[in-house]
Amino acid sequence: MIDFDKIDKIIHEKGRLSIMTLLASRGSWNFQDMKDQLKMSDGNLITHLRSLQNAGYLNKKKELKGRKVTNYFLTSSGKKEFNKYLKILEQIVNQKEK
Amino acid sequence: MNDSEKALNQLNLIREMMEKATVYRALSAPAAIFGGFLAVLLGLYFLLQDKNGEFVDGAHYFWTWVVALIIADSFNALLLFKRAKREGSKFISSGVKLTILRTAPAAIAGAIISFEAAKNDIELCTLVWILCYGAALLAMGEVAPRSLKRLGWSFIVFGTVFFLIWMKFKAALSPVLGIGYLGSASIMMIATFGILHIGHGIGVLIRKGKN
Repeated sequence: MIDFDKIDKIIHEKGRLSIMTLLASRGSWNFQDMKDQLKMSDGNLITHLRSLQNAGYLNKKKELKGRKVTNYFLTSSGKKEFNKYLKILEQIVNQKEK
Repeated sequence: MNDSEKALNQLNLIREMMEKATVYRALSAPAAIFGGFLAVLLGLYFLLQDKNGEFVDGAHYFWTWVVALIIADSFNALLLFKRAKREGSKFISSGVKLTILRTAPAAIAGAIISFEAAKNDIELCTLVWILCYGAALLAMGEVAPRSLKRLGWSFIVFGTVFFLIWMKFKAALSPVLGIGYLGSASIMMIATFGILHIGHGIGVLIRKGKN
């Protein structure tokens, strides 16, 4: 029997799940594009990004494109945990169907 | 709310975010219909010129269609701008940037080759437009919704068939239909940029209505 207690609480939060999904769908995202897409405030987004970075799920890289741009991307551990999270959700849904 | 419903909610959020992150409808349905009608009208105008035996040189043909493209694209940009404003998102979003980056190679190659081709052969110029436009739509990859991918494939199929006929007979449709090169090029434009765009736009609107 699988339940929500087994689920990764860091990814599970709505804002962080949205960030993980964006990064999983398309390689890397810069801070501004992510902010526009998620419609989050700077502070909110930074807090979530920091939590995910502290968990080792994402990393950032600074680039100079006329101005300083910070790009975020999933680490291999982040990709693994995101896939694991998806599988658990799938199992919970399938459990109910059975 | 039980665990299963919670899990479904999370999966829906993931799906929504994935679509937002990857899919960008670069061509709005009304703009596709408008562009299609414009192509049909212009195609009929050139077809009539051909029937009347009037001479139209390559440069005239090329630049007339370029003006039509600018009008259709401006209308599309206006609708996309309005949509972005309505949704409270940026007009120059990451989707727009990605679309431009991916379609640029085929669009630039198509513009250069067709400009040169138009000087000698307007059928070849038209074939380059059809094939490069199809390639540009398909180059959008996962950014494009399925309907745009289907439109891209339709252009590639039509373009390839017309091209093979052109290679075999040294003219695309003129010997088959008994018309001149201008008429033949116009029919190809009506069939692809005209009818395919109108079909695409109507199809998208119908699906939108159903949803």
